[in-house]
Amino acid sequence: MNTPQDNSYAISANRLHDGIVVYLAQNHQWSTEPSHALSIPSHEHALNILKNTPIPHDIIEPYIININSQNHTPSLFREQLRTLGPSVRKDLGRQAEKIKYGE
Amino acid sequence: MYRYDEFDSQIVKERVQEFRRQINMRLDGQLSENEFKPLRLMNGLYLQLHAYMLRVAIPYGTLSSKQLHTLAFIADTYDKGYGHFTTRQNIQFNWPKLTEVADILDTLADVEMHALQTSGNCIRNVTTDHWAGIVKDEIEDPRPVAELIRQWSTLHPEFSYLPRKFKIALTGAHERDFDRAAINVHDIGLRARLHPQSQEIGYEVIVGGGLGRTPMIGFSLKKWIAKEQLLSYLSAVMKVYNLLGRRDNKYKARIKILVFETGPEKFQQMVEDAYAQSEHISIDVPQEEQKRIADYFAPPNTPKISPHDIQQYEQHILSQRKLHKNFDLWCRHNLAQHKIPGYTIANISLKPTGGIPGDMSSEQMRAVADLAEQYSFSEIRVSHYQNLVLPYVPLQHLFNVWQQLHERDLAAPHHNTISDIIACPGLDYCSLATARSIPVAQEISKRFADTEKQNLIGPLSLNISGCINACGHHHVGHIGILGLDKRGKEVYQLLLGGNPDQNAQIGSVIGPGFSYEDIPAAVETVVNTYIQIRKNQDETFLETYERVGKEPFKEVLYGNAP
Repeated sequence: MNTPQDNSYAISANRLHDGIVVYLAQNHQWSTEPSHALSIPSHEHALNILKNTPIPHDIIEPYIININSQNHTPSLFREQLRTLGPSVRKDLGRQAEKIKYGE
Repeated sequence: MYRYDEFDSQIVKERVQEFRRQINMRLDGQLSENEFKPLRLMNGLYLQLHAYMLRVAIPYGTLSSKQLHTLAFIADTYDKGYGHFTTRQNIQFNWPKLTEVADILDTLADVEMHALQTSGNCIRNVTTDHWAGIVKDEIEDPRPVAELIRQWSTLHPEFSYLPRKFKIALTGAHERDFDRAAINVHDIGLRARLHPQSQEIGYEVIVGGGLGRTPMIGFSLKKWIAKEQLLSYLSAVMKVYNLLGRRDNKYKARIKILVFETGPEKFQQMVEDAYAQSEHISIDVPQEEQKRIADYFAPPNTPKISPHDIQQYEQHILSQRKLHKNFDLWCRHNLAQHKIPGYTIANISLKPTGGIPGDMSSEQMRAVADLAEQYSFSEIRVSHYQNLVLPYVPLQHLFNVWQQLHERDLAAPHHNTISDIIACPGLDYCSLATARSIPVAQEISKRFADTEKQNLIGPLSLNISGCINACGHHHVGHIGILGLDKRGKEVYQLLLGGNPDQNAQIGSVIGPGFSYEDIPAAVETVVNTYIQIRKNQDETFLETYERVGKEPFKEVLYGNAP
């Protein structure tokens, strides 16, 4: 679990053409790499970014997630699975590429 | 098997072309996501946890070898080499790209398959008994009626925007016999019945059943209606639901809530009034048309096997059973008596020990398609228990069929036992799920892998859902598990005493939930307690539960804690 100091926010979505999970990155581009996610200090700030950042037409269903500001790991188990892939098929999803949270 | 007529082919092909245009308009930005989402859902395309998911219908659970080969081709060409058979006779592909979905649908249309109405607030894929037409214990094969309902409900303009999704299931089994289609827990369940006087075959209409957030057992709306008038009567039910079903609250929008809030008698009267006022003659299905469709479902031309030959084949099977323990177990559990002498029904397990219930690799699909072509008149059935069936296996080929299934990990000998677990995809794939189902099923199946123990336990169903929507039918498992999220942790409620068949009942939550780590042991405790307290080995889990109630199980699970 995140300590309150570690808790921050990010914006996640899916890519239109293949549905793959993406994150709003620091350069306001969208990245499949969780470690590139823009770490946002407050929920209010995240809401503001979500409201004011133009969403390209090839990015769908954006929403705010909780992350650990140190390592950008999603806080909720659901989001961790979404980042990695199914826990029952380690050969599928991002985990298959052996990429873990910016390590 | 049913073959598309020119209307079916045209409708499906045109729909693929239309969806291809809609996809292209979305990709080049002419359509927004809000405009596109309802269109993709109408074509069975969901956005799930990791990617898109395409749900393909297998109407009334009947597949040909050619169709299964095509599903294998799609799995390899457009997905990741596997598919997942669901609890409603569908198959899901978990990783299709939007840019390739129209090609997938075109490929499906070439073999008379589609993904129409596998999502959205419409009449969904019509399901039936997976042994329809091949067992003795039925009044008639219900698939011709299921096909009529499919034709009537497909793209029906009045039923495209219902208050909520709508599921219909049929069985041809006698009322006293086993209902393998779970008709009592569907929005509409239909059971073949003989008219008490004329003995004409008609259907009983059961309405208002369902699982999900508010589980309910359906009630008998009409004890008997002639097949000719069945669609007209169903139209009247749909008309009442469409007008009065709640659209203000999606959690109260299913027909079961309307029936409950209106009261069964009043609802019945409203349907009768709507039926009386309808111009049903225009919907009634003449006998010639019924016969035309029924002819497609006539059994294949099975060569007659003489009693002498049957005896010889049975002797051979017996001798092989003595030599091969696994074959013996498989024969004991996975075969069912066929209505044609000399043939058997072979149930294929998609649940090897520690495997993912319902998942099938493309290689396995090809193997089963080939087996069906060689030994089952090119026909395969798909069950809502997430297994497959070879419906016409001649006894002389049984050992060979088993060997080939065994080589491909498709011959787990546990049909209707505790390790034949129903499980939804849960949080590993589903965006609605609140907890994982699959790894819980995998762990429990490992704990009960010992076939001696399975035999000791006897028939016992275990169903697991990863959220309140109950796709894993947890309310009607003899033992049910519901996965929930409590403050970021997976917690699993345990239910006992559910039953999906002709004596349907909803299971009761036994007490506080268990952690992900503890739920398999809790199931073991329940099963061990049952073995200890049952009267004798013939008393089933449900019988014991009905006799003793929750308390003995609660006591061992929770001790004296309140």
